[in-house]
Amino acid sequence: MDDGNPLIGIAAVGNGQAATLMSVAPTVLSSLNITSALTEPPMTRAMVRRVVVLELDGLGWGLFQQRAPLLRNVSSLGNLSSALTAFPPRTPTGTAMALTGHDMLHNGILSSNDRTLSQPTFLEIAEGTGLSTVWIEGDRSILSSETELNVDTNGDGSVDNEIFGSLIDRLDDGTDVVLAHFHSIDDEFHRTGSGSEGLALAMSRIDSYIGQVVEMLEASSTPSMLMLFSDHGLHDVSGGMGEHGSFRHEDMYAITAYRTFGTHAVEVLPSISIIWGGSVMEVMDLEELEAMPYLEESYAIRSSHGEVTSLFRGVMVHDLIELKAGSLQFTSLTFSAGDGFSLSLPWEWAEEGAGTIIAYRQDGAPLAGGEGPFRLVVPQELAGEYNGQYCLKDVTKVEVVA
Amino acid sequence: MRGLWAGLLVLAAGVLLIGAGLIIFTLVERVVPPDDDWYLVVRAPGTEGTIIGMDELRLIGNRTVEMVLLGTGEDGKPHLYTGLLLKDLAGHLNVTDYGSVTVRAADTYSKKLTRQQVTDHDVLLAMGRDGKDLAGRSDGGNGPVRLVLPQEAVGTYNAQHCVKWVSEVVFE
Repeated sequence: MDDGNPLIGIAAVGNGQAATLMSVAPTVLSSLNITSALTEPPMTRAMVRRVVVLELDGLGWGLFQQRAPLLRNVSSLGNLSSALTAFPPRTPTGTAMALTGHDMLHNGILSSNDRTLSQPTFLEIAEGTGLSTVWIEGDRSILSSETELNVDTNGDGSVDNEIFGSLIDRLDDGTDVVLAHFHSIDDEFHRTGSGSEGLALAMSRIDSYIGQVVEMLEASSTPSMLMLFSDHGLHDVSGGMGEHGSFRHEDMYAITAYRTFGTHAVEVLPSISIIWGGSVMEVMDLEELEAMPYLEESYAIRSSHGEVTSLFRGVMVHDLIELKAGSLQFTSLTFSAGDGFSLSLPWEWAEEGAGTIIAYRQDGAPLAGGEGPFRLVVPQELAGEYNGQYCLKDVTKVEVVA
Repeated sequence: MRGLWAGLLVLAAGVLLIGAGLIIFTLVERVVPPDDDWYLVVRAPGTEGTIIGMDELRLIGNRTVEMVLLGTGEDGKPHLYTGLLLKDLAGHLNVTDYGSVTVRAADTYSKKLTRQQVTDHDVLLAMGRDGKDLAGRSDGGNGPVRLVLPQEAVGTYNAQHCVKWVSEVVFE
């Protein structure tokens, strides 16, 4: 049996997953090891030097499942998932969600009439770190963002082959982050419906483009990632045509998939994310925390197992927050641990002089596994107080509540 | 004495070079004209770019064409658009050597056309609609210059191709 049977692969994924197109931007940025408001660095990750993102306009999850044999290279890419798009399911709304990693309310694109993004795209964020980027389009922009346009030079009725030509040029010239948006699946579905030969041809042509990109990336010595996503799906309407923009599963479920090529794992220092207003404001790693002023004192921690006194060294929570958020008055702080457990403390507990620290050393050594690398240490207010319940182990996040 | 003249010449040449460099640099930068003093930058092969102010544009662009814009924010009814046809702009500047034209807006939105689309159709840089000047961006308008393209057929959506706030035309 052909172990590449795409249908078997598909049945195993997407079940019960609530993925959305917002996963695209953080996936791209974290693969490039770019820290931004969207990405919390894991302990280790596969690093790539180049990312190729292909947007397949109109390839809904349903259409993909129905016609998967035409899309062998998509099926075999890996990390395949259905992904909810924005409402209304249109190209600008879905594209904005994928490119910014933010939902409609926060990215500024609430309808097909909106063009001005209020969040940067992953291309703009990558460019800000010194990488070269390009967004390759058809004959017009989708959003107000720097775009390289293409026209139907050979007059075959589709711009996709010209877009593919531009994509190959950009892979050859070593552009670091390339986004290419292919339109013909959407065009053909609109024109002739889901069962048409024209759509089948468009799909297999795009699949062959993907196959060629996979071959190029496999042959390249540059560690790379290839990511695919669609902006929305379509549904059949009378007259053998297709439409989208409705609140129905055919339109709302898009697709994401990605694969890395020639990556090497890099060690990333343990870190703490500071979150404010729902997004990551700052990520501080161990080295940066060690460089800050510290408090080193004897703390007694009492829990139901008894009381233990040790010498903890750490950064005062007050300093950490004030450094990054300024001298604002907050109401509370929520600390989260690696296992998802979280704890909220009133802001006063972290105020200057309160002695509440994020500890990274205990009795002169790094914290033991399971307790560290970072532990919240809250001093006892009265001797014998059960403060162990507040001394959260393996702290990974601090959320500031204004 | 001769040394002094040579020195002055080198100095003058240097100033000229710096000047030319500045002009090219300015034109390569993204063009965002001020709302109250709009202009169009036109680039063509072998030139550094030409800046055309609104007064001159209105003087050379007085063609009126009836067009229907269909799409979000449009009424889908015929209106009289007045402006400069892209092919006439090429003629005005003696631009003959081009295969495509990119029309860009101050907000980076852009549209690319083949030479054939430009020469065979009434592709207009509109400055007026039904006898009134198009309002600028800060006044909530789509102008003062907007690309207006005919529909491919009755019922086709063309509004999304009609770039608002046009600030740059590039013949390639």
